[in-house]
Amino acid sequence: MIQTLPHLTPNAQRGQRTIARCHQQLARRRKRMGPAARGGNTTYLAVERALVGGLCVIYISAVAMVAIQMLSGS
Amino acid sequence: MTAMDRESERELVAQLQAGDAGAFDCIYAEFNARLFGFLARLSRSRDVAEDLLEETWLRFVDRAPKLRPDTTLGPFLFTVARNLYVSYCRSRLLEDSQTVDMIGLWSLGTPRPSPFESTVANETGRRIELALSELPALYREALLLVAIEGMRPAEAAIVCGITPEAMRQRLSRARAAIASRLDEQDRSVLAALKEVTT
Repeated sequence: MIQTLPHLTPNAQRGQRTIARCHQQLARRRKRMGPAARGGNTTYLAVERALVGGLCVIYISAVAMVAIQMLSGS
Repeated sequence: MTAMDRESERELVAQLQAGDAGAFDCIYAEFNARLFGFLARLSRSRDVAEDLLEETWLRFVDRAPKLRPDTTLGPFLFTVARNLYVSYCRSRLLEDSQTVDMIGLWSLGTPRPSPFESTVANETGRRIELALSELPALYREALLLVAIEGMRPAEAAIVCGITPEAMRQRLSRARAAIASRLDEQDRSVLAALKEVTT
């Protein structure tokens, strides 16, 4: 029987104001999070690649130097 | 009442977390009237329900980034709405015995087949609405969530923060309570009729 109760309708004008406020809140979030998050990610990736690449170069150079020293010593 | 499937719900949650206003509009269209009906019948006041409804949506958007990807929107939104109502009651020390006319909440101008059916429907609805509004808030919310919103008892239990078993017991007591109130109304109507006819 309870299911037969009529649907209650909220105030449409107030609803529009609520939607507008929520849209504003979402727009602020897009503005705040979007570019910052993307920018932070790009910087992090570039630093990571440079660090790994640099360490590889140092290691290969050290190995080459030891090899040259061993060859010239013998 | 249309039901969202789980997959589209997941997509909407993900889009909302990215700040998509369109996703918000979809969720709003699906749940706004249902939340309002729940809050209006729970609080027994249109004005209070309007305030709590607005606060529910603002809080929902505010919490959106923290939602889990598998969040079920219905129980989540009704939990937010219910918690706001509980906070409101605490702050206003609202008494359970206040009187209201629930008929004032109904929207006017809905098409009805005939004046007779309209009268009968109004009368039945008025009696149920009255009986519902006289129930203690705990029973009222259980009936609103399960009987009107069509939630499963387990989902309603999540909204109310109790175990499914406790919800089933609460529902059973609520049904008994509303049935007894409707019986009382019938008896008083019959008594009044007797007085008129004798």
